[in-house]
Amino acid sequence: MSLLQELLAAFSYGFMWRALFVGIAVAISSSFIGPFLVLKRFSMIGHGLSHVAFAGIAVGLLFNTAPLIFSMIIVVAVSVFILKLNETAKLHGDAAIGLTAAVAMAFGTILASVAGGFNVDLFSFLFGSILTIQRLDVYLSITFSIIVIAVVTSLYHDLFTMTFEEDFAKVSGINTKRLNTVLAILVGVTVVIGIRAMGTLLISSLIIFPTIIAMQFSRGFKATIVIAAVSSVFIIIFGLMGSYILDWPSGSTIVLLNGFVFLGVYMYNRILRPQ
Amino acid sequence: MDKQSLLSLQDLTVKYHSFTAVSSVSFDVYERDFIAIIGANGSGKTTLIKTILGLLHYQKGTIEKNDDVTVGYLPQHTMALDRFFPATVDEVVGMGLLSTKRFPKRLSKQEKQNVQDVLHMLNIKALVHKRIGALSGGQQQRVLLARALVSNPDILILDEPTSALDHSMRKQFFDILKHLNKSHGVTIILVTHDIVSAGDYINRVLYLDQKLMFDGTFNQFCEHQELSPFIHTHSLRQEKAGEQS
Repeated sequence: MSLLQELLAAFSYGFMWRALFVGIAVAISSSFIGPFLVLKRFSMIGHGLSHVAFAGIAVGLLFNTAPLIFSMIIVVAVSVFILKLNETAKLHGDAAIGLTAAVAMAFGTILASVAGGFNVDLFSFLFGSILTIQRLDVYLSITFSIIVIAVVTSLYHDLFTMTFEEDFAKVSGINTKRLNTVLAILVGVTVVIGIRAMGTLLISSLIIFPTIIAMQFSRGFKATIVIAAVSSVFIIIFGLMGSYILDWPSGSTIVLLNGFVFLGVYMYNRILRPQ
Repeated sequence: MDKQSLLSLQDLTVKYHSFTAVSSVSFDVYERDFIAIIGANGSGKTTLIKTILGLLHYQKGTIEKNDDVTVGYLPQHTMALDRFFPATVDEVVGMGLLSTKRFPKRLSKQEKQNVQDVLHMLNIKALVHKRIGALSGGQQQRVLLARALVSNPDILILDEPTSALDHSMRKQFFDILKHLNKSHGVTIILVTHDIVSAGDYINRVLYLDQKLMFDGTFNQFCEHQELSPFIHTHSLRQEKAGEQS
């Protein structure tokens, strides 16, 4: 069977379409919040929260309840907690994230161990598996992505001002505390909706890679968001196809593809692009 | 005719835990004032303006300002910019208007014209599509000044705006401030170490050492027997900095 026939055959399966919808939804929503986090030097919050999501999923699986919904509530709460820890306990963002992530990962691992070790379900949550994406996941991903995109679009100017310079935003009358809390909630939501396709350990890459790829080209902030979203959608589509053909975990395949694209763009900018 | 007071500070005290950064400071800022706030490092200059701007809480005293008096702010240059930040000049300048507007945040025709006028006045119209991080220090400073000016503020507060500029750019920058003050009636409050360059432009000096030690004209300050050595020390420091750059 040729590669093209194999790909066409793949899209005769419902799971492939479901993966595509979830992938595109999470690619766009994570590209919408990525620039704010990367430029506020808070990009590792996605990584930290994915560890928290792992603990949430472990709890969900243990009690046999919807793991993603359970995880979303915990992740959003912890995301706001990390922010408050950063503001009030005089901890730098990276230290607050590191502490929380380590405790959550330890908790999740102990829970999995007590429940009888890592089973297949937990592994698919760690690295992403397109086979496990259900119809409900598609609805949830699309709904929450639309919410994330709508919130970022409506608060765009305030978020941009705060990211560029927090003091100037405060002087202009922007409530930066409230805005940071909204951003923390959006990150929590985005991390959880991306878990099915990307896995808890790799979802943060979808927040960081598209932004830094876009930053190699763009001069403006709006352009960075648009380029990040478009490139991330293409990478997700090709990554999912690659994952199907090569029988690799979807999250890992997408991250590797992101890595190659970034390297290609970086090399082009450094070596080939006329100055 | 008496000048109108735009801003009034009475007995203002600001503390960081047990350390008193600003102690019982009182003064009025009048229409068309061009004030330089000077003092040694740690004398409370930045704390004072950040308190006026509402960025810091104060423990004692009052700050009175009419609601219709608007304030523009130009922060310390070194804090302002990440070289790789993807923002064009027009995005940054537009921020000055859009950040103060309510939803939906769009510029009216008049506001767009205002942006164009400010860009023209500061001679940065050709730079609008450039990334701000790719500009020189002087150009970046003019872009940030444009951002502060597009909302037509009554008072412009600047925190050491010339610290990263060389001598000729410093002069250009002060010329722009003078034009704003004389022709557009903008009241200017400037925190600076560069009292020598600023001396030709300002009409008032506030010398701070936690307390307000002096409030008067530049000439009066130069003649002040106890405080004038400050100018000598700082002019020597500026000269050395100029030689090194």
